[in-house]
Amino acid sequence: MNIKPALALLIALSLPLAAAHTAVTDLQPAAGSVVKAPSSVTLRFSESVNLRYSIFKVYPLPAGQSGQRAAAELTRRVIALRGDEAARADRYRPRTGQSQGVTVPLKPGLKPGQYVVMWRLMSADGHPVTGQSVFGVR
Amino acid sequence: MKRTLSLLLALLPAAAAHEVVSYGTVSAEFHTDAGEGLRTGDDTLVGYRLTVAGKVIAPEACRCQLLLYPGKPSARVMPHVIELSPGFDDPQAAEGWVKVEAPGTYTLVLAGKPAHPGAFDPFRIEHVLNTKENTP
Repeated sequence: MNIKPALALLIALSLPLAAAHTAVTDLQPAAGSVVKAPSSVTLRFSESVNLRYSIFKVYPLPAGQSGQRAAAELTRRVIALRGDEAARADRYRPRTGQSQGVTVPLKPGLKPGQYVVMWRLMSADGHPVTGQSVFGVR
Repeated sequence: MKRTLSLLLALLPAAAAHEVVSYGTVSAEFHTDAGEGLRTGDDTLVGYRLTVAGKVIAPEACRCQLLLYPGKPSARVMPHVIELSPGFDDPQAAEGWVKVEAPGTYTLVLAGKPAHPGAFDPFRIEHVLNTKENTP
C-alpha cells in the first residue's frame, strides 16, 4: 500500500488540530449520570494544560433549575469568583504545573440534587475555554 | 509510518470539529456546545465567528441575524430568531441559545450586512445541523 499520499492528506486535514482549543475528553462522573455522592470529580484533557491558569469548580445547581442553559449561566456567573468556597461543593485548591488531567475533591456527603462541574482552561493557543457538565447525586 | 497514519486517523474528527462556510469573501466558523449538533429537548449554545478576506471581524462590525429553520429554509416557515451576544470566551464570536424539540435536520441561516457600508458585501450563509441523541 502506498500510504504517502494518504499520509500527506491526513496531515493536511489534521493541521487545524494544532490550533484547536483544549477540550475535556473524559469526565467522571459522566455528564448526565446520577450517582451516589462521589468523593471527587476527574477530568481529562485533549492536551496538557497549565493548572496555574485553569479554574475548576463544582457548584450545586439551584433547586428548580435544570438543563444546559441553566448550568452554563451559573458557570459564567461564578467561574471567576473568588472567596466562594462556602457556596461550592468542591475542595479544590489551585495548583501549578502542567497536566493532562485533574482530580477535584468534593466535600463529603453531597446532598441529593444536580451538580455542575465547571472549568476554565487556558488553551495552548492562549484562548480560554470555559465549559461545564452536570451530574446528579441520588 | 503506519502508526503515524493510525494516529492521524484517530485525530481527524477533532480536526474537523468546526465547520467554516463562506459566501464571497465572508466566512463563518460555526460551533455548538453539543458536539457540532443540536440537543433535543434542551438548550444548545450556537455560535459563529466571522472573517472577511481571512481577517476576523468583531460582532458589532456586522448587522447580523442568525435564524434557525426546521429542515430547509423556506418562506413558508417561520424561523426561530436566535438572540445573539458576544462570546463568553471569545469576544470576537457571537453566540446564542436555541432549543429544538423534534429530532431531525435544521438549517442555520446567518444573514448580514456591514455596520459600515462598503466594509464587505451583504451575505447569507447556510449551515445544516442535525440533532444529536444522548448529548448531555
